[in-house]
Amino acid sequence: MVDRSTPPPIQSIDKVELLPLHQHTFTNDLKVYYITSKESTVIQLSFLFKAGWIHQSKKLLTNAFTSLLLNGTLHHSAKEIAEILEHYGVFYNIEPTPVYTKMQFTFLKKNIDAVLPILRDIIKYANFPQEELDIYTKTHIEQYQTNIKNVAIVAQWNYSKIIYGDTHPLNKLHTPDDYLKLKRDDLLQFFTTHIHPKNGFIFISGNIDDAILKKLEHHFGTTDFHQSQHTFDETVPLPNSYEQHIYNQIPDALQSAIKIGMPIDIHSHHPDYFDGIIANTLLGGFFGSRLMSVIREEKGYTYGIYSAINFFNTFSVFTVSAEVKAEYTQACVDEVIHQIELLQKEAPSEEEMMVVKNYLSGEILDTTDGILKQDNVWKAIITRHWNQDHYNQFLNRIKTITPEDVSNIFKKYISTDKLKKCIVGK
Amino acid sequence: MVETAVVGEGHAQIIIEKIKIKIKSMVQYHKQQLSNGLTVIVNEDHSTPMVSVNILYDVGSKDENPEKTGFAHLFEHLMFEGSKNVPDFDEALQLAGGENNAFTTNDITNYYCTLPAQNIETALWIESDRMFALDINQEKLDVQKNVVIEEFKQRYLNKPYGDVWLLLHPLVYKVHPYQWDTIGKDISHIEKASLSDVQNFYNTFYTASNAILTISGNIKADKAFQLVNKWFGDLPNKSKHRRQLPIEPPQTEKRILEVRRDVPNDVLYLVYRMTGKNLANDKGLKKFYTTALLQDILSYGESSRLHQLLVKEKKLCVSASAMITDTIEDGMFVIKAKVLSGVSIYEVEKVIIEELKSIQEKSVEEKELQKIKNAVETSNNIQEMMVSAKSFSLSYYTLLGNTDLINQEQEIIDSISIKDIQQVAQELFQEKNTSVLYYLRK
Repeated sequence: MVDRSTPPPIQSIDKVELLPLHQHTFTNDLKVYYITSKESTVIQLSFLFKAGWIHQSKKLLTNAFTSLLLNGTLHHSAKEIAEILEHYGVFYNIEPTPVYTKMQFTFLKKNIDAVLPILRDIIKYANFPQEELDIYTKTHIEQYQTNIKNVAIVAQWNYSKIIYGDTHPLNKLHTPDDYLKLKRDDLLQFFTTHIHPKNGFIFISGNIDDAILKKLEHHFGTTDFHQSQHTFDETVPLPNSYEQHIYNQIPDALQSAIKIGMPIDIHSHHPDYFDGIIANTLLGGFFGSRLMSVIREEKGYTYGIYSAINFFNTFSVFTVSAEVKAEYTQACVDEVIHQIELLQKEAPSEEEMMVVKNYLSGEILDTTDGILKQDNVWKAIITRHWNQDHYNQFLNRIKTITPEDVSNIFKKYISTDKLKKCIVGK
Repeated sequence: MVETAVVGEGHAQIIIEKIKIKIKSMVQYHKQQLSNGLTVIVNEDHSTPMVSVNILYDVGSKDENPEKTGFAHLFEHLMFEGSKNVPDFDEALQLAGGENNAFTTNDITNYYCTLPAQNIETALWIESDRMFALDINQEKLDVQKNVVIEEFKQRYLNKPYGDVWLLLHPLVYKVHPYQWDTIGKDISHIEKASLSDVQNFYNTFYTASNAILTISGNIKADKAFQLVNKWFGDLPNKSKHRRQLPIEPPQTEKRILEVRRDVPNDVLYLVYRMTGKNLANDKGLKKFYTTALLQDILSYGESSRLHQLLVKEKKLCVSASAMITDTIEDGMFVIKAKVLSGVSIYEVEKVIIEELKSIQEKSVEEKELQKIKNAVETSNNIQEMMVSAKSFSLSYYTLLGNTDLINQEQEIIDSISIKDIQQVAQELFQEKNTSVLYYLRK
């Protein structure tokens, strides 16, 4: 019989190793970064341009831009583009973020010669046909009507308004009218001013060799690409909101969506950056967190409750989110505040710290699992301007941080009387 | 033969041709059965520092008592509430740098952990302990009942269109236990669950002989088998539960359900009863994959038939798609169309049925089928790089009766012709095989 009462020994994670990053610059100044692994049959090709929410001149412009980028070029209709990409088994994802528009294409290496010409056509000659914009506008206005009945979505929109302020580009609250204000010219202008070699880069992962770099150069590295000297700024504007609370009643809601939080000073290069992540993880960043243990596992108020810190290069936003049984809305809000105050008053135990530290170390190791996950890690390091050894520095900080350091984060950055609250439901 | 099509005009001509070179990649695995009946599979993958441990229990919501539905899923929650030697399951795994989760379907309950390979023993220790001696009491049961009731509300009741699956299951199945969703028929069933119900469920289904354990990741196979034997070898040998499910008789006439809710758009659901992932014979399996490809032709990507027809060309819908329930016994082929306001839902139904008729008469184009085959190939290549996807697939295919399906799937799919597609469309899209849900706004 094996002795079940003694847990197996655990080995700690001291270091992570990433595939080395290579870099090359084409004659038109477009930078290409790549990581390579001989065994990989799959290629992931990404284009990242500084064309994010912070650069938009109108509400929803970046969202419409990313949704419509593949919907027509000078030479191909939306349908033809979809047919070609999908014919060659290309998985694609175009998404807006605060600073960058990210375009990601994943396909088999053997199909690269068929895939690159159509990608060139998109990147250089997208033309946002009026008909496609009309369909986009119409379907999104209809979808809006469904979204405003979803407590979690309404809470997210209203919360972004009280956190960032009315005029801030990250305020997601909008009306159907904002869709109607989008014009084809806005999209075309956004495209030509932002999608050019000096305003972004290519990242490619897979079994990359000189032949592939030559192909990339042929399609994207030449001077017929939009020529502009203007590199857009990456600074996310500071929040500017004096609103503290939003309470949106929906009479027959069974659950309330709750969001509680505030902007804090810890930006993505701040000396307390790692400590902020570790402190947040302990409070509500994983399944074993305090909020999950108390509010789901002890009290059963909710299916899930989480906290997160969303980091930008100038500040960050700390947020606790949950959907709770309607009659426990206030009890849940009180409990969240109570748990934050507890951490301000009393440092967590060494045992609790150990769980958080080991969990986070495992998470960091997991980000190196395979070339496709490392692709994400490297893109984060580049767009965030972190040191190449960022994740090993994180592992080192996990080893040295004390329970008092965690308590200090809550004391230093969060005042419970300044927490903003958004409640949608009952 | 090279089929070429010139798309568009101007200098950027794109040639579409059939892809002939095929990369034959194989997932290698080893399989053993312990004397207590536990099936163990190991796939070595040294390209990752991680390891994934997947345990599939052969129990799903189809094994529930019709008066006590939602039980398999409620039980899944209780599996995280601690066992004799591991009072806190999650904490033990998190201490080893790991993460875990679980899901319940109509057919199975599946648990998986991913953790640094050097700490694999922690996963085997905690998984074997909860298979060996789960520690359940009234208090834990009460809390998890509350959590599940909140999950019921969050996912099914408090969202526009959230109750669709609660309506579709009983519309399509009259006898078979697929007639309820995994969350259960009604919240009251979960409220009534008693401690003795839970204990019986555990004793019946959570046995070594009713489980399939797969390890995929950075570990040598002999080491993996040795460790599994160490932690699971002394679990008792209990006989495997034999299920006897009522057989759903063939559908003989079209069924219609109309509901009105406080929602912004009418939504049409056209449901056809389809063959399950049944390995009883090769024909059944090929038919399943053919039906799955047909669903993708209708629905996969922007270039798919339903999106092009209903959203782009005729501009009748906000969105239009198809999906299948991927069950072991007869499943549902569901076409969903969210209708633009001002458009008649019956008009949309007519257009869709005409489209399905044209597939019955003329089948689909060669290049539409090839497109889906290529997408499956990319997806298989990506999944082979992910230990958690591999460890689940190996467990699931073993349950179906053929572990090597992980390597044979692509071959079966490649053998499917447009004639096969047409034949399946003819059998599937028959009026008497249809259930329609008109989900209308108030």
